[in-house]
Amino acid sequence: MRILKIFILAIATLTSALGANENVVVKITEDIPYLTVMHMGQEIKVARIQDTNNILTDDYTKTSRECPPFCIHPTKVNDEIKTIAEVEMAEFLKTKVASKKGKVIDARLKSWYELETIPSAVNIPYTVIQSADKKTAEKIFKILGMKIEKNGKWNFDNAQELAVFCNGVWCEQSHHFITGMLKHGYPANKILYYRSGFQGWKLLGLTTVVQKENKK
Amino acid sequence: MFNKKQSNIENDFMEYNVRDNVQEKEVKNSGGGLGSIIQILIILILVGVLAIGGMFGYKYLQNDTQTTNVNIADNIAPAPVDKVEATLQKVVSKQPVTNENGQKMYTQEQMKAIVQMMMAQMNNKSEKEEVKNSTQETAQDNELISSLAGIEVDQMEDIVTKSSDKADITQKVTKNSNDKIDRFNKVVLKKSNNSIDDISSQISSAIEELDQIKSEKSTYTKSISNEISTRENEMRFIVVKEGDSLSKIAKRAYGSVTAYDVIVEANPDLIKNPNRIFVGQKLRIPSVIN
Repeated sequence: MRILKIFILAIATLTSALGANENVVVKITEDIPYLTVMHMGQEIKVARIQDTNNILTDDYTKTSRECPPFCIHPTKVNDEIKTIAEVEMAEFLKTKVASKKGKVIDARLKSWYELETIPSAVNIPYTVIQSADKKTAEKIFKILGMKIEKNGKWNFDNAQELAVFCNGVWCEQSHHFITGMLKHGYPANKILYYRSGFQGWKLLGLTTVVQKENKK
Repeated sequence: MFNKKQSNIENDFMEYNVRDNVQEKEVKNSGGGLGSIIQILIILILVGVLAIGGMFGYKYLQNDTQTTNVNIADNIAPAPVDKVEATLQKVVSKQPVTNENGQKMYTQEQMKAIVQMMMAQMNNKSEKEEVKNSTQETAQDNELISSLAGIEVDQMEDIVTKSSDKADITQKVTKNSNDKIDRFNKVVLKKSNNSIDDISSQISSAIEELDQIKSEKSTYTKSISNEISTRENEMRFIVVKEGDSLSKIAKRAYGSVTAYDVIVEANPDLIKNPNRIFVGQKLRIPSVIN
């Protein structure tokens, strides 16, 4: 009798686990079935492709590009910048982006950003920062939450935390962006480098957003 | 004698329908005192409720992997089975007479109907299974043929159509497919003039101002710019799945059903008639509409 009860309870627990989380079979992490973020005023559900037979047939399956310029990059941009992966990225979206304390930065050129990007990402092409003078940097930093004190000192206390990405391990657009930001004084502890980048994002079948307007 | 037979068949029929619940019954019967029976009942209800949730998840997972070829299915298991069943149902639904022992008594006509219905149901069930197996194989074969050799697929069963004059076929094909599963997982943004994310819009307007000032490009930028044009013109392939139509693929790839002609243009050798694409067919899907 007792064994029977335990058995039924075990089935009940199993079934509830199956039915939970809005039937997401392919979750982002065990605790995060999917995320919801805002992208250009539009609510985007970030989830992975639910078809477990799906394979990439898309452009990010390309294995070989000329090196240079498309060389494999080391884990770190430099010693000060923390490198993150998808789980940290998911947490970043869930906590920092949701509370407006952080922004995902797409450091690639605008055309790439428009073609396809990570939901909620803001495009600051590395070229803008790379060639920026102090005035331009100030303008961009102010948008990112930097305050100018009375004595003219730049205060980054409430500045956004940035998770920077580009096309992935073979792409150095993030490096140029981060180097430019540091050069103008953006604090290194407010910058994270998502090394797998857009290719890593695609590889896991995560939701992307397409901005390019359909001409049809 | 005849009554006994009748009740046996009736019982068999009932058992056939409630086969899934047999285990449940046994569980109930093995209960000890009243308290434990109630306890078990409560748990069973709980299991039932949760199982419904689980079922949805299971369906969600299964729907896309089922490749039931509707046309073949129609040939092997024709609709008349249902018609027979419906007429028989009418006969059977007449209230049976109950004899003094409490056993239900059927007329000979009703008996015949019950047996026929049972046979029809059983046949139907086994045929469905056969169809599922055979069509899965067909779909796999088709995929193999078209992906490996790129051979013309004239002989293949045409199961996917787009045009409105064949709307009925399209409906049949799409019946089992699940649109919720998106193989591209791309969200095409709606164009909105207001309510844009504050930082994003501020940054983009600030950058636009800057772009007008400087236009010099570093060597790195120049070299990766070529990659963008490659990326833009890069062709990607998709394998047509059951329930697909060109307009559906166009909707997923470009966010517009009318963009299917881009796919037609990119596949001149494969699509002779845009109304006919085949499961397993490989189609080039240009990344960008020029």
